[in-house]
Amino acid sequence: MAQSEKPVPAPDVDSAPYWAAAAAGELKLPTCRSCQTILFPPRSVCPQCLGSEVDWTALSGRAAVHSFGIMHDSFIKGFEPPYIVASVELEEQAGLRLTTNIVNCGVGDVYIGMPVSVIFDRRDDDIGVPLFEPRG
Amino acid sequence: MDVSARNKTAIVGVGYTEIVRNPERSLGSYAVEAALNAIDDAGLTTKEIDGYSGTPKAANASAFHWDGVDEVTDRYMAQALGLGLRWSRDLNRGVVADGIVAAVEALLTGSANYVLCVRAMYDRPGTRYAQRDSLVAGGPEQFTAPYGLGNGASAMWLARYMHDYGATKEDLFHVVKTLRDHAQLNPYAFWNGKTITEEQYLGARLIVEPMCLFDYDIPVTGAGAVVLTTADRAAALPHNPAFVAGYANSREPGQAVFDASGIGRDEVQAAQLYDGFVQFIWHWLEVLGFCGRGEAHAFAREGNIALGGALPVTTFGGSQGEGRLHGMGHVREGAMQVMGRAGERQVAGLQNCLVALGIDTVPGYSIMLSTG
Repeated sequence: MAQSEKPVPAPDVDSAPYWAAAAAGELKLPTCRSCQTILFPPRSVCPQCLGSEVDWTALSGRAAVHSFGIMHDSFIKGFEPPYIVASVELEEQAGLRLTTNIVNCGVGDVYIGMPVSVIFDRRDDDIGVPLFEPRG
Repeated sequence: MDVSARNKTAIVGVGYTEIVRNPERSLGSYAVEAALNAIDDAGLTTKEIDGYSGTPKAANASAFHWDGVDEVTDRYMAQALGLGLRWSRDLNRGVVADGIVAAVEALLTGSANYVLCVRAMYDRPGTRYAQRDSLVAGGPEQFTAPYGLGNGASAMWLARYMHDYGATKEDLFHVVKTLRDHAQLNPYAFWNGKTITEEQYLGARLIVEPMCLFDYDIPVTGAGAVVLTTADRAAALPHNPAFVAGYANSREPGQAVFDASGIGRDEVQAAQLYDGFVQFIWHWLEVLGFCGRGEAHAFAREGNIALGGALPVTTFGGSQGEGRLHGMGHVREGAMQVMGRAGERQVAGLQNCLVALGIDTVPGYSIMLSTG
């Protein structure tokens, strides 16, 4: 696979399953076995109940745009402005938000509350990056 | 801070350098100049400085982290000034409030008697502050940089605030304009001599929409320094001390700094609120309880935060008007206001000035300075 022109996540012990799942086309996050809180960013200890056992759970990938910004300047390699950066709230849990790009969407069309769903951008053989697009 | 520490320590000297965009000398030389100015202002010599706290971190994504070049550490300063330090500390978050709080703690424990705090910032020629060259993103950045997002979370905070509370870019301009007006009274300020119109602001280049160029502070090269000592030693020095009445971590509720200092909101005559991104002013006004949630844009627009208003805010022009020194300007101005040395900017009858530094991703402290 050609080297990505965009920054590639460097997986660590806590995050590696997240990026590997995305490479396989799934959105997965650790869920606390004792209180069922879904943890993002991925952690091995639950900040709600301090439980130390988590299960990696597949999520629906359905979300709503919590907020967004339009990048008009290019500070980071591989990105051509304008493009949409957003914080999206996953439908499984209030306040569970990922930073992402909204793609397949005009920069003038995105709005707070917009329903979106996950798609994946492979950045190398083992790593995929979850992106979101408008949900019809 | 425990109430038993109220007014036991004070800022007694202040030093600064010119603030420029294209420096012709080393960052180390700026830091040395600011330090010597502060020590002299305190009526002291380098021989008496036995403590040092610095906040050296170069926060730009492509920083070298080279001592004396784009950062200045305690090691560099001790060597450059020949300091005999009993206590020294560099604090990695880069927020100047950390250095002030550490100095207070060192003084209260007797670890040092006269502490020098320095912050130097470098605007690397030919490089944009937010530029990120690496294609590998680890740690917290792994969840942002792969999306082409540098430090853009605050723009999303702003978009959501505008959506939830009906605030407008015209409201935000009012804050920019207030800070720029304050900068006209500050000879150090980068924007001294240059005011801004609403037309210029609304026509400015967008960076992370809804933020435009003038919603960001300006990257500069310059340095500032202050000297702190104990209250008993301060009594023998030339200036009226700016006592540290209390402080609270910015993770604590907004009430904490008022409880620690025993000084209520209505006893605060000015506040130096951190404004690296201009909407932080709204954030601080609400978090500290000077107005209710969602009300700060209207509170500011009604003229309350200007010099002459009910609560003059960031009276030297802030990072917006003076330049990005990560809070050193706020500390300097807070101290100068309390010392009664703020010149044209002096708030008449001021006894207490709150200095609030830090942001959501980089916590700091709120520090109450007082005439005691």
